[in-house]
Formats: sequence, structure tokens, C-alpha cells
Amino acid sequence: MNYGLYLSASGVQANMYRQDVFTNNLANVMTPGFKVDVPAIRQRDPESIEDNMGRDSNRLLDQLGGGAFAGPQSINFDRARPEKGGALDVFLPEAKEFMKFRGPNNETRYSRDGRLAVNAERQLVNASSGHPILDSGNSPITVEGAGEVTISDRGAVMVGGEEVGVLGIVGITDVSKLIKEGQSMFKATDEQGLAVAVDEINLKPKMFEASGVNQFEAMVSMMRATKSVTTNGNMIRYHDHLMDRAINTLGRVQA
Amino acid sequence: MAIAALHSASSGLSALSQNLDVIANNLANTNTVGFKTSRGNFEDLLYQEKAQPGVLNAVGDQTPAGLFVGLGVRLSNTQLNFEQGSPVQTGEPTNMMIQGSGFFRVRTLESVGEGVGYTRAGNFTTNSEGDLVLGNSQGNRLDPPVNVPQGATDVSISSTGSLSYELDGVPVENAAQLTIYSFPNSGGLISKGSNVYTTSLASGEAVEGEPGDPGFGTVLGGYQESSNADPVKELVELIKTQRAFEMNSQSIKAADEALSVISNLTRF
Repeated sequence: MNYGLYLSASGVQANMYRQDVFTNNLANVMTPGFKVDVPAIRQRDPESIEDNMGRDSNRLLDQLGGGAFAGPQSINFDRARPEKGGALDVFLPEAKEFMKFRGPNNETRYSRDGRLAVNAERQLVNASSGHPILDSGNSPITVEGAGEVTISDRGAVMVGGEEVGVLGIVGITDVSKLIKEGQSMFKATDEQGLAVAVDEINLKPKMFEASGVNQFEAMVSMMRATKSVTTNGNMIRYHDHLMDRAINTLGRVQA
Repeated sequence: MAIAALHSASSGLSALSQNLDVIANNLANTNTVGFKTSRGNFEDLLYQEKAQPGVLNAVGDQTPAGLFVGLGVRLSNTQLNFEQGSPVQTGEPTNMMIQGSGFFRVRTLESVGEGVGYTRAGNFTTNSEGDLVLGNSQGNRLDPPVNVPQGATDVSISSTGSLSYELDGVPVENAAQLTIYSFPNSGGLISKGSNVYTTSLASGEAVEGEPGDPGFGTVLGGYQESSNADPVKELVELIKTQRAFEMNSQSIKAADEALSVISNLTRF
């Protein structure tokens, strides 16, 4: 059969996956603390290598390669711009620093989404997911007492001028070990030595981190992915056409 | 494949159009006494896991990253912003503004918030019986009631909420004491319209106090609190949301284009 047909099909599939990722980025253009997913495409090895079948099956095809595969995806952890927020919002200027939250099953979650609120139990929580933010000792911060709740640029939570806790800000040594869980939260695949408490907390109160999506880049990427899909799709039709010619025109059996 | 893109984009369209509604309401209330703006909070949805990171490849090495496709966005909640609005002098002695935290309590229908609501709008006037009532369409009575008898002159309310006036030429000090209320989480209050909020599980129970108590604001008589909606900020948010909406509609077009190529592959 026509080998190129499969190469084009793999191109369509891989680029449709890219389109899915870019669309999700665009949908999250207003999600605070959102980090951009970067889809990767890798070249697929020819079948002889992939299936360990030895090299001499068809030398010409081996040189062609095996089309494209969706490769390992990465997350762009660049710092996004700060945006003016409410009284309890915080912004972390260092891109590798994260706030610790208590997620489901008492597991730790990391996030840079600094929109905080107080819940009915007077715990300081993430406004979106409702996960309580943790202090350096991994316990939630309760804002008891009378007076206005404020957060200082050293991460101290104050109620009416009285300190009630300090936000647990950690530096992540290897961000590639973080995977997304939705609700702007990240889960660690391997906690070992990953989160290191920051010596001197430096944050910007009353601001929060906007989405990391650059609209122009995201639009252009999506247009490119779409064009790659249509180009590869047209190549499939071309292969089909070629075979049609071979079968019905060249190889026509006349009665 | 591209279907996920269609759904992500449509989730974006619905979340962003909801946010447009929130912003439009903020903008519509730039002249509403005691109005507090809401902010739409977005969050990303779950991720579809196509490949786990750390899986062994054919050579026996661990793959460094996985493959996750996000499934869109949603508006998780709207958060009330209780930033102080600026004071507006009205000259009306029964108008009040709370400087700092705290709410006035008013009587509402039994079906609304178990008969009581809370408000920051201080445009109180007297009704036919001389009770202070909120200047909204309902005329909710202040609770506990504060009465200004007929014929009282020189009415004034002190910063600690005590009412004094002159009746028949005799000055009356501390004729009534105003009570105000605060909440563990005022952001969790429910907006009921007519400038009135009611409690919810998230807001917690109301804490009673007098103006000037620790944790409570003071009262400024003769003033009312203007809306805290900043038209410039809201318009910028409006533009941002509108553009983001447009871009998401382009995502739908792109996914549609890809799918139409696929559906047109077959020849008959």
C-alpha cells in the first residue's frame, strides 16, 4: 500500500492534538495563574526500528521515517504579568515559587493563583478551588480576631495588625515534576526534595498573576496547527487520488 | 481529536460570556449607593491524561514528561469585592456611611434571609412613623429599629452610631444606639438585589457590634457610600473579556476547518 498515506494520517492526528492543546490555552486566557501547555511533536522512528526488526526490510522506507507522533508535553512556567486585585490577593514575583495548598485527601497542591478569600471556618483559601492555603508547617491559616485581614509583602497574614500566620511559599527545584490538576493547581509526581521553603518571602500584595497565555502567540500557533491538519488532510486525498489513477486508469482491465 | 478543541472553545465562550454579564452588571451599578462589584474567577478544567510521565520507553529510560490535554475553562465563582466606596455628602442627617467593615441590618420578607438582610447602602430616611428605613424600592426598616420622633430637629448621628436630636427645644443625647454587623467572610454573602445581602453557609454567622468597636468601622452621618465600581477598570475588563471571547470563537472555526477536511476525505 501507499506508505505516504500513513505518514499523512499521523500528521493529521499529531496536529489535531496540538490544536486541542492550543485551544485549551486560548480558553484559559483569563484564568489567573494558568501556565501555557507546550505540545511537542516528535519524529516517529521507521517501523523496522520501532519494532526491532532489523534494518534491511526496505531501505528506502527506513530513510523516510515513520511520520509524526505527539511527543512529551511541557509546561511553560514563565512568570506572567501581575494584575491589580482585591485586598487578599498575592502575586509571587519569582517564577519558580509556589503557594502550598491542601488538596483532596490531605495531599499538597502547588499553585501560583494568588486570589485568596476567607471561608466560613475563617480559613484563608484559594478563591477558585476553595483549597486552604498552608503555612510553612503545612497547616491551614485561620484568621481569628477582629479587624481587617491583610497580607504583608513578607507573606505575614495580619488581622487588625496582629500576625496570625505566614504563607508557606516554596521554591520548586524541578518544575518538570509538576503536573496540572485543573483549578490552577499543580500536583507533584515525586515530592522527594521538590519543594524547598523560601528563606525570605517577597511577594506583592493586592495583585494576582494573570494567565500566562500570550493571545497573539496562542492564536498564531492555533492557526499553524489548523493549517498543518488541512495540509496533511489534503495529502491523504492526494495519495488516494494517486491510487485511484493507478487502479482505475493505468491498471484498467479491458473486457 | 479536534472534538476536544470544539468543547474547550465552547467552554471558553460560555465562561467568558458569563463574565461579560458580571462586568455589565458592575458597570450598570456605577451610581448605585453602597454597591460592591463582583469579580468572575476563572479556573481550568480537568486534564485528559494521554500518557503518564515517567513511563519506561523501549530502551528502558523514563520519559521526562507526560501528555495531558486540557478540557477548557469555567467560571468557578463570582467574588464580591468589599473595597470601600468613596463618601458622598448628601446633607441628609439620617444618611449614614460605614467607614471600614460592617453592615447595617434591615428587616426583609420572611422568605428572604429569614427576615433580615444586610446592606452597605446608608441612604436611610424616616417613614411615616419616624422609623429609619432604607431608601430602596422596598423601604426596608433598619433593625434594631431607630426612631426619630416627629418634630425632632438638629438630627445627627455620631461616629460611634449614637443618635441625638433636639425635641421641643430640649436637646436629647443618645436617643438611640445604632448596631452594625460583620461577617467572617463577607465575600460569601448572597446579593439579593435592592442593595441587600443575606447570609449563606460560606459567609458565616453575623457578629454584632457597635460602630467603633474593634473590627468594626465607624459611622459618618450625612454621607452615603458611593458604588465601588471603577468604570475605567470595568471597561478594560470588558474589552479583555470581549477579545478573549472572539479568540475562542476563532478556535471553534479552526477546529471546524480541521474536522471538515477529515469528513471530506472519503470519495464516493
